[in-house]
Amino acid sequence: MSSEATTWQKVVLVAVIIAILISAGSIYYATTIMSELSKNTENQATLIGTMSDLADATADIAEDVGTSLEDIALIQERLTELEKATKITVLRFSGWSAGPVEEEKYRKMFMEFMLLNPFIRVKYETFESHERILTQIAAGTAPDIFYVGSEWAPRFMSEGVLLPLDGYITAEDKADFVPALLDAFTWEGKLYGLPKDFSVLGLAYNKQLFTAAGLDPDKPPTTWAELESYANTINTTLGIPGLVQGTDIPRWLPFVYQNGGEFLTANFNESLATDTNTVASLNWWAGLYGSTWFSAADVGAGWVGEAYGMNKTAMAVTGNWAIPYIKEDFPEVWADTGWAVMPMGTENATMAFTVSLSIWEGTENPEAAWKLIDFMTSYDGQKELVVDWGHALPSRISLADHPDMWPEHATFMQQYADSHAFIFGIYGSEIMAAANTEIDAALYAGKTAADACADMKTAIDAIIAG
Amino acid sequence: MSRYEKFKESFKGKKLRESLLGYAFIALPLVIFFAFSVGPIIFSVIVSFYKWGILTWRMDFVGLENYMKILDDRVFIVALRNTLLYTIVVVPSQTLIAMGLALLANQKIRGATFFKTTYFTPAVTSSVVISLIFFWLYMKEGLINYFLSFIGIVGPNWLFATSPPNPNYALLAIMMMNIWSTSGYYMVMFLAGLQSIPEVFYEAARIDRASRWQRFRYITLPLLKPVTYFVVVLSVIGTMQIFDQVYVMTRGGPYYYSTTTVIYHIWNKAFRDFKMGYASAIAWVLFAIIFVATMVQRKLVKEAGVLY
Repeated sequence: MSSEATTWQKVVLVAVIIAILISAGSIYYATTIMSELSKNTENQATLIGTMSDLADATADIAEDVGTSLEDIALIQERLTELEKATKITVLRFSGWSAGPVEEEKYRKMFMEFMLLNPFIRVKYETFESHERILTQIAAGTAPDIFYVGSEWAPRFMSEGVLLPLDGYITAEDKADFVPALLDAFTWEGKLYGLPKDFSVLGLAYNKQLFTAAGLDPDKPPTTWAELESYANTINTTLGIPGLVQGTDIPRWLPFVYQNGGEFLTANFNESLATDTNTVASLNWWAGLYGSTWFSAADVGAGWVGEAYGMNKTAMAVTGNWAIPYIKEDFPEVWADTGWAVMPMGTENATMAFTVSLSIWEGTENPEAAWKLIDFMTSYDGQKELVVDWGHALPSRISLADHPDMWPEHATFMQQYADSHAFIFGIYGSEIMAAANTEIDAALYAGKTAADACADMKTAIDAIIAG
Repeated sequence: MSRYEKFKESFKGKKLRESLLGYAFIALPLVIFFAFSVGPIIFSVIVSFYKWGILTWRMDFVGLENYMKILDDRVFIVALRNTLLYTIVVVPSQTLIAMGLALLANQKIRGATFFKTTYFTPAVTSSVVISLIFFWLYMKEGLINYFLSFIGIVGPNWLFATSPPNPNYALLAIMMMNIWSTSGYYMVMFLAGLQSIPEVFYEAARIDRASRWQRFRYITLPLLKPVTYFVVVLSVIGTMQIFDQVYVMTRGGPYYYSTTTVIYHIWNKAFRDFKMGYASAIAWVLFAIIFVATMVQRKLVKEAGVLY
């Protein structure tokens, strides 16, 4: 036997192995399809029953009332609905996960939904960040429903990849959502998502440390002047930083709005960073850094909540996400902690961070997708997903005074009317990066507030101009 | 016979069947290679002349605008500076350490295999896992600062420096981690190089009474040159493309883009700012830089006469 023949024999062998693998794969695939089909048949059996009932009803109507065109139209409509329902709709729901507890909550929610809607099946997919959704949208394989963070929303909405919800939601229902949150998902008058929940910034303070510093433990600072003087008092009497907070743009902006300043025009087409009140707020905020307030890194902590929990400061500007964290990780500090709304400047203001449930424009099942969104953001849905769990605030105003709400969250929830959405238009991410650079310069390199704001405006306007 | 002629020749007569058989065997990998490597590469060249926001298929032709913009991009300049600094520090350090480790591991000492395995472990560990471990080690109250405290040094907050004028160690910290994690990998290459040096050379040298140093200087080092070239080239390419460590540990910060590298900047432009065209243009500029760097190294080494 020549060596070439051996080679051919090898080829045949390889081909046989590949053929075996392929057939094994197809058999497995076929079994899966068969099992899906059999489930479908069961559903159809129930439906055939319903349909025959409907046929009887039709006959009755025809006998009793005489056949009107409206009746026939109605019956036909019902029949088409039933026909549609015989097909199982699979909805893909995609969001990032805040851990196994949340995932479990969502799975339970989907189960309840599927019991109520037996012809819809929900597939839960979790992802880490937006990149995956971006590529899925580009490839035309995006999930039917997915999370959209407010900072990303303008880009998604302006590119037309989300389905407008105006045809589905009632005006009455819409009015129950916090307006600032709906604004974040509204583009050119159309609504592109419903906020699943939200978070705002507030103030955590340590009552025991307040007493030790000679301050009234039941009176958290309510104004800028008090915030500054309390922080300084704590600093001089206890030798620890009085206040720790974040150093990036979302932590500075509350003070801008509180001072009557603005960051961008309402339609995001121009920077307002050189507004006198805006400059003044940076001047005050950055001027106190390093003497009155410090960053989490300055006190050797990973983030503000940790710095507070580790007793490295007596006050911390942080979001409501710190509430369950401090309760679980620092029970002793938790016992001494008071929660307050953001201290005010000339007006009350805080930053709101939110995520929407939005429908992909390319979905094949918009009605079913809306049903699921409606189910999850409904009063009962939010009660279960948001209020009971206590990691975020409900986006429905009617839940604001629900008795099951954690008292700490209730304090934060008071600020919903003063919330400014974390949203900067379609160039949001670049605008934030540019603003953060100037904030860093003002905080760390001693750049004057006026110069930093002027450069911020130049940089942001250049980004908007393209 | 030119390469092309050889290629053409292989499709004639008796050789035809052999060639076709060869192509049949590599058909599947070839298809995958074209679909997932060559395809995207060609696509990225095209995209670099367009404005493209990835979400829809609307692409606007902008000619060379994306390339022109790079020159005005302050962050790109910072990123390039960081990347070059990173390369300049990491490549020589890890090459020297790898060579040293290889020399040690090549001795006939007890437990050499154990050490070889230990040094190689980081190379087979995911860089994300290593980054997460070091993220904790580098914390203000982490293990590294704890050990430093034994010798009376108050360690800094390695990754998230406190406010200036305190120095910012983040880039240095990432450099040290990378030197640690990749040296073992290059050690194995040097080891292979060392073991391919015929023993007769050393024997002859010993007969000529060459000292240990002389044997190293005049036999080992010159004969290791091809491996060294290979290691340096790989190392330069690897360090120029640093991304995952930055993504996991510092996200380009802590401030002033202090650990933003070119690839991290590309990623930001593409997936944060939705500027696929601009990101592709930067990617091609980086390719040009790496290509030139490799060519220069090749030329230098060729002049030294070690590439056979």
